[in-house]
Amino acid sequence: MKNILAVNFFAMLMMPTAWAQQATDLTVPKLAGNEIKARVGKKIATPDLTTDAAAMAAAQAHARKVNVFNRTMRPLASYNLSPLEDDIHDHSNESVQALKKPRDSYKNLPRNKTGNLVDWVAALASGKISPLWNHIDATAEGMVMDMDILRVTKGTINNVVFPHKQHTEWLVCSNCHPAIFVPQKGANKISMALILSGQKCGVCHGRVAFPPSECGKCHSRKKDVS
Amino acid sequence: MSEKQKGRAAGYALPSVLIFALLLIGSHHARAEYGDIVINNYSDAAEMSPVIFPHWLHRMRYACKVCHADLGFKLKAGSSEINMAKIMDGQFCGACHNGTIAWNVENCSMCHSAKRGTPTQVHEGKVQEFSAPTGGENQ
Repeated sequence: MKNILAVNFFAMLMMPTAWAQQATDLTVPKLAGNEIKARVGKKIATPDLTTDAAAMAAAQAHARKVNVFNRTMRPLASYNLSPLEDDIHDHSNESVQALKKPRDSYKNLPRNKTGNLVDWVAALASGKISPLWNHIDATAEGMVMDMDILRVTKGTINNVVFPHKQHTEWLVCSNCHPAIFVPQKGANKISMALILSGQKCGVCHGRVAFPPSECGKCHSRKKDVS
Repeated sequence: MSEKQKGRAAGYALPSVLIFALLLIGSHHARAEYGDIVINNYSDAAEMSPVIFPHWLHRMRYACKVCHADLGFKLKAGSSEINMAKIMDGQFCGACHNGTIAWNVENCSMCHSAKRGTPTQVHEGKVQEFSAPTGGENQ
């Protein structure tokens, strides 16, 4: 399992300039109905396809599906969709129109490359957002602990620096210790395979905090290789 | 390369190719805001739309710790066993969505806003992208 995930991750990394291509390749050239049928053969010949228009739509949908080159790298336009445009909200529900839209809320926040496209840590540090520490007492403040943990990596990739400071600005000790990370030096086996399958750092990173595809944010300390 | 190493390399080759192919084929990928959580433990069975929790909106206003330590929301999507009785009793969502801190639970369809049949999962998460190309991590 570990090996499979590792290979998977590197396959993702090795795909160059994928989404520039993806953005342009999504449409198929316009073809006559019979030409489409000849090209895609029996696969789309379902009973629905009685007209050329239906055949065209089906062929385009098929092409859109199979020609997504790298689904982990999407066009920017597909991020931060409003509840009215996304795929999960029931658009016939009138209340959906009243829901807040991510793009409106993110307007003045520092940008990031993936996830919500918002650098949440920078947003907090610059005071652009000021999330409350307690839902009843708005004046409550947390205890921030400034202690970096250095994790030496295998191979040549930069070592990992884990900053307690940025984490304790959002979380308390019991969120991570001892269930996810044993608070003891050397007691935690962490690997990218575990993280990418949603364990260890991956409990949050890849689900709500910045995704693990931003290697350099964690792998930030250069190794001495002289 | 020894015979043993060759055998091992061949053993990795097939899964690697398969995974590469899966990456190329693309997925049935429901577009949503990163971190949006759909909770559908009881909704479909009760003929309600499943709940969408907009993580991004809540994290702008409250530290993670408020919900995940003080209010008892577990870190795994769908595992907190939230139901309307608990919410009306002031637990979970009901700690704020009570008409004093945030709008109250009479606005059913503000939360129960997902398409029917949407599975419980974190949307746009890396786990789905990498290891479950046919749907959610909980399927």
